[in-house]
Amino acid sequence: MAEAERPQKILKTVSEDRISSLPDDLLIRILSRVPTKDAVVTTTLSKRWRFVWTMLPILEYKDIKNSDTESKSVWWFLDQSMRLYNPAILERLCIQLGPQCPVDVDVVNWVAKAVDCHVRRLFFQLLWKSEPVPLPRSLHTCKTLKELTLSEKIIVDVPCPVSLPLLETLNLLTVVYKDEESHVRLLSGFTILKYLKVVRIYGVDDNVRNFIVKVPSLRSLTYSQKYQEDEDEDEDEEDTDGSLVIDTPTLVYLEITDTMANTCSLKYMPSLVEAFINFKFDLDGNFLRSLSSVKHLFLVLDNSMVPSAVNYPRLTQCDIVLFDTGLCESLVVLLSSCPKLEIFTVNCEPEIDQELDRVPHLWNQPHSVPECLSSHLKIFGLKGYAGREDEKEFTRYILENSKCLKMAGILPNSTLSAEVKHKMTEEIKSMCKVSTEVRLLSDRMWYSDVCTVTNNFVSLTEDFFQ
Amino acid sequence: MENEKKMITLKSSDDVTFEVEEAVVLESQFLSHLVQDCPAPEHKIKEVTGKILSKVVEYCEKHVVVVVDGGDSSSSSGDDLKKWDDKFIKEMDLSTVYDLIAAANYLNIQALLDLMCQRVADVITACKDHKEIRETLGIVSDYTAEEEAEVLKENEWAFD
Repeated sequence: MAEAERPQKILKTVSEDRISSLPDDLLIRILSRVPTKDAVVTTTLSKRWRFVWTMLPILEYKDIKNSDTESKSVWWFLDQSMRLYNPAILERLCIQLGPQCPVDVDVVNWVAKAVDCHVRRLFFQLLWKSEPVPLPRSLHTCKTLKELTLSEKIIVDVPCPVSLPLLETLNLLTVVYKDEESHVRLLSGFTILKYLKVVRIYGVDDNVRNFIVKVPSLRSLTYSQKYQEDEDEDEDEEDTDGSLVIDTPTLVYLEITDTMANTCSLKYMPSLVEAFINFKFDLDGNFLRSLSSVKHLFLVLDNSMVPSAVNYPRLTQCDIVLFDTGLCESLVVLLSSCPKLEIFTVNCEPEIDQELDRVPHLWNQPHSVPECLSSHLKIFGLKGYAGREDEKEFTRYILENSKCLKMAGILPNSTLSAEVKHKMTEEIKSMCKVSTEVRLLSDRMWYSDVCTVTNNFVSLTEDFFQ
Repeated sequence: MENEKKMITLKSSDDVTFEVEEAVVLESQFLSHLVQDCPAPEHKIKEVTGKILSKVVEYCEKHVVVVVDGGDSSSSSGDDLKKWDDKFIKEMDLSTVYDLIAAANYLNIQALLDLMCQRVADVITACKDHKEIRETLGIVSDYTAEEEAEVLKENEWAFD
């Protein structure tokens, strides 16, 4: 620890106890900068320090290690001490409880206590072995709460309307819901909610079929349906009949990772700047039209879905992950609908390596060259390039028709030999019509050179949140 | 650019004087109110000694310059400032740190107060147990053996 080295030098020179005579507010200010555990240790220093920690505005209790050791875990301490706790402002309470937490501990009461203390940011993760618990009703009408994260063994049970007027950030991470109404009621109880993150686990019934996000104030939505970490992705590939409905007219950032849902419906989002879409089901025209105001689009293209002709007049960066090079033709259709595109990257996923020697999909070149190629495209990145015929034709088409291309970054398929890679680069260089720097990239360079451009867009999005 | 900068003289409890630009004084909420309410050229600060006031002035001068020059390259100057802060507190003994906490609290200079509190917090965090904290900070326990055992038991969680 860098900071820890510094004070060592002066240890011997101090003997006078001046710190204990500082007023409470200064001691609190000091202990707020110490990890909660070390702050609790100070209770044993002297009587002056006995209750200072009970006034701290930030408390973090983390105890998620999966061990059944005899030592008393944090739950015991919380159980004993939460009643003593009495801060002027509870800025942030973070509680993480692991599987060793006994099932009869009254965790709900701690949350009620935090609400009584006018908590502003609450992070509660419960990983105990018991069933999910509902949190106290008082949490649903907490007037001071700005940020709420609920994670794991928690059941969202909302029988009455919710009123969280100051809540800006909500994270619902693999929790379960009492019923469909509970999640709808919860999400309709906000006036200024800006950031929402929802994580659900495939195969775990959280009692919600149709997940509906209807939040007029929302600026950023991250929705992800994922597999349990220890589960094999290939087994049990049955489809659920769930759906996702997103109605967020002021959204700026959208990220959806869901390879299971059957349908997803989006309402048009005129302020959208950045969208990250990883779906398995067919994207219909309505879906893509809802994204048409986007400036940066990240799209995972599965063989089951092809972007239909929707115009993206503001799109300047497009990143595609491709599972089937047979879709190269669709990519040119996509290019035709992004007149302002400046950065275009295609990542051919390794799964298609095995089909290197298959018959290439022949594609027809469009009648007219897309506008972005003749007037805007500056950077073209291609990852996983293996020199398949359709890839080659696609690359040739882009390079030959791009009139203001500054840089083409190629990261060849990792299984190829250095000699082949070099030959490929030479071949690609010969395709360029204008003076373009062709770079053979390594994995690291792909992220630093091509993907840093992406980061510029992140800051672009951040401006919108100000 | 500006040819005339308004200068203000600060006098410490032991009559050491410091002539500083008005902008430097404005880093302190307390002093900026004082200067506004009472436009005298010299202000005596009875609660702060010359030794400590020189540190306060040094800190404020450094921080005010960066804010003015900052402009578009604010991030690099932010890094420089962080390095300067680190150096500023590196050689400082705890006694001076307490004096600066008192001074920054009295003069209401939040950033300096935060920096000094962080310094003490780092000292506490670096200690391996409560005995070392006591030794380092010179705290004498007034618990009886029974009381101490009880407090230790209550807070067992915090002692690995």
